[in-house]
Amino acid sequence: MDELRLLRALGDETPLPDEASLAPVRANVLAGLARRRRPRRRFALVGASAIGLAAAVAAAVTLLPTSPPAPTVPGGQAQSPPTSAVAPVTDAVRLLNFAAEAARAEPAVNPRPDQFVYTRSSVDSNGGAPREIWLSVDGTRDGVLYDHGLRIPLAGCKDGKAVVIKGDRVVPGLTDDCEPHPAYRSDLPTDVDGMLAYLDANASGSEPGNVNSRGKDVLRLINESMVPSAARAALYEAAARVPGLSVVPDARDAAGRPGLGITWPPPAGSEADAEPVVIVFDPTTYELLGTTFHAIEAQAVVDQPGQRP
Amino acid sequence: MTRTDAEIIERSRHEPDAFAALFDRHAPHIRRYLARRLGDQVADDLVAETFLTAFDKRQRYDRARPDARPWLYGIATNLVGRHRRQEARRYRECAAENAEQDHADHADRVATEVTARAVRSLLTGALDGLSAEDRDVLLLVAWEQLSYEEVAAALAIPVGTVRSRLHRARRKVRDALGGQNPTEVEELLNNG
Repeated sequence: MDELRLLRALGDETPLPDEASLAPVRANVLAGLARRRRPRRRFALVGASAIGLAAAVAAAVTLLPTSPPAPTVPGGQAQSPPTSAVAPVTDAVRLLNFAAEAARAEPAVNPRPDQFVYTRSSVDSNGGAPREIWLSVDGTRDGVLYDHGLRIPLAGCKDGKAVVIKGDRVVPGLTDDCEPHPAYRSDLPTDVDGMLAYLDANASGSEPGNVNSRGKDVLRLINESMVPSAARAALYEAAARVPGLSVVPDARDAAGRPGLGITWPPPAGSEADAEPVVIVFDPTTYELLGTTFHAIEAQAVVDQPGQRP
Repeated sequence: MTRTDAEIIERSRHEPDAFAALFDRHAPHIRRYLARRLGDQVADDLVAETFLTAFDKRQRYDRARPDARPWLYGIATNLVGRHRRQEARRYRECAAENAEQDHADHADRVATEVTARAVRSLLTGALDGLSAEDRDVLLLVAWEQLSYEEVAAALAIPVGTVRSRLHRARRKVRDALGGQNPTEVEELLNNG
């Protein structure tokens, strides 16, 4: 048992800040150094009470993630099935390639930055209640989540600042540093090599090349954002290169819709009854339906948070 | 040509602005360390304070040490010590939040996330239960990956003391994790 590694994983949840986010602090330090050139003016940098207040406030406030996990993938219209789909698809590479082909054939959606990605989903753990979320296309506008009977505001990140949200309320007068997380991922590569490089560069988990981590990275991308069709195709093609995937012929998503599933072996050391994640595709159109835990029922671009298509 | 930290510090005795190079080299790690322990908002204030304190103490820097990072961690750890109640609150809230979310998980990722929250709750609860001295040692090793010698230098304590504090801290965390299967738990934290 290695509790150090567990702790390390907890620590890994806090990323290294980049140069840009450190710029204001750097300016403070340089100003402090400049002040120190005049020996008689050696003030403490920040008044203790100022720190105390900031500290108290920070501790009292719980931040919702600025980009909450959002179920997604455009609910594209039914495509004509690829011609090669006559024979039952039994290997994961073919299934993912069909899904890529179908995705590539979907018409491009070009949302405006000020719009919102709306997603309605059905979640396994939610007792059948729908979950609806509106996320800012460019990540700078405040969105909203309806879930568990609650209306939860979601902070957008504008000019490096996001409002602070505690529970289902915005805390007045407070902001936190942030980076915008666009719900529409126009930044993703659209070719398979580019996508593999992207996944490598943004890999989670401690072991590079871990199949379980890679599977979940792919899942997280398609769950959390609207991925343009070309990038989604590249993502499926990249997923097809992951070794050890298998097809679940009679899979069902969290809403009970039948389809063809993709899954991967549970990680070593899992409990015997650990339920694997299955990504489910429509058996005829190869459109993504969702996963065994999370079914995507509708997705669209709308103008306002709270507006249904 | 790259200067060692010791050379930069030496130079900053007469050229204060040279000290900015030390900031550029180490601030991301120090900032992350402070954010891990105290949260983002306080971290920014304390990063600045860490480097200005270091600047003020630079005459006392041991120039036999080319790498200043352990020294900077030591200064940052001292500052964390002044915010002990804040740190405790952070762990407690994280523990409570994760425990609560474990029951009503509206974040809705994969189901394994739910268990990962329970583990986070146990871990942060365990950190809260440690003495400040033990916690400093444990987190410098686990999070900042300092060697025992570096921790000893950072906190100005003997290496033997580092070992005994680490041993005690690890045992307490292990006990707090109780019946959780560590391999599974680790997988969840990494990948959930």
